[in-house]
Amino acid sequence: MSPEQLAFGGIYLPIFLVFLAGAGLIYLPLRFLLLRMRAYRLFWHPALAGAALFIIVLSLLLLAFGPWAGRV
Amino acid sequence: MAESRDVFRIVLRVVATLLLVAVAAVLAWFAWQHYVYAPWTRDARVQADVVNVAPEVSGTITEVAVRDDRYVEAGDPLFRIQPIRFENAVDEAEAALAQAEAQRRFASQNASRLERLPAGGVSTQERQQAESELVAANASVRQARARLAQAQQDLEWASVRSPVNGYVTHLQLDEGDYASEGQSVMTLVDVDSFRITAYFEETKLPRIDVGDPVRISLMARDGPLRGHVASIGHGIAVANNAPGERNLPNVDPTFQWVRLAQRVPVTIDFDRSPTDLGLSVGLSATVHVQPDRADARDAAVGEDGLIGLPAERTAPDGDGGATD
Repeated sequence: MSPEQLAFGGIYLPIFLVFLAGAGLIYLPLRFLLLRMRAYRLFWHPALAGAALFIIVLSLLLLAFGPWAGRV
Repeated sequence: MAESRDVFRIVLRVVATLLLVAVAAVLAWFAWQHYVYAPWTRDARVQADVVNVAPEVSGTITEVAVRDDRYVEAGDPLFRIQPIRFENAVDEAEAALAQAEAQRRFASQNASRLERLPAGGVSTQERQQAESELVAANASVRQARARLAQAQQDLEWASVRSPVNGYVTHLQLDEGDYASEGQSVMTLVDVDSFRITAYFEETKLPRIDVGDPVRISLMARDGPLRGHVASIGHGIAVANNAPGERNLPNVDPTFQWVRLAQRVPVTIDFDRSPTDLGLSVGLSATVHVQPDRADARDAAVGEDGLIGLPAERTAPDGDGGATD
């Protein structure tokens, strides 16, 4: 797997899919934890807050490990 | 009292939610900017000069000295054309030269003999004729020499040699085939000219400069290779330019509501000669231009050492200078 693409059974997909899956893997336990802590009560619109949280996780992953991150 | 606390809590919850959404929007904006405008593309191909070898003389091929996909160096024999005709032509040209030289010898002797005769013993016309014959004989000798040289050149051309270091590709030539002068019969891939052609969307071009370092990932190979931007293409076809009736431009009357960024070929040279990698023309590659790393390059090359770079690139610029 090169930094820019994902090889899956001979199909070469954009690396973005890996970031989506990674963000999901981080987001799901986080959501479980927040539900257990009843932290969603702090928010006016829990679903919107959850979606924003997922986008934050995904964006941070992309900014930190994206293909443009300047590694050799 | 209790009501005002409830209102306060509701406002707090709304503000907290909107704050989270705002942070998400800002981060998503930056990530999107990077993903869309960062100068990298998955659409790059390995390219090289492809030489179509054609013989200078026609004839039946008696020997093919190479096998398909073999490496040949410049000057190595590729194939031979039946040389008998050319050997005979050399013999003939040598004979013609000998004949011309014999005629010149006689013309020369004749002219000097008439020269030595006392004035009045020979007519002016005869003397002029002898001089003219000598000049003509000299010209004939030069002509015969040129024909001999050409015959020898044709004989040499009957053995076709490789003009470049490269790989024989898609060899279709067999012994016994007839090769015609000027008709391509063999294809060579020049290994000294391997490069990458990357097709960048025009939105990414402002961030690409000639000389920028590039990281190249070949689909065929693990690990990155290093290169640099050699040149940026200066033209792609515009469909509206196609000539129509009376040679007027055939302009499409519709304008697309959804516009797609055009893509421009950018040529990337390898920093190190990739001859040992066994590259093939057409291989897929992913390239990533790294303008941030250009600072080190500028320092190494100097203030005015790079051609084709914008002025602000060579000047010490504030932004991006300390990102590495």
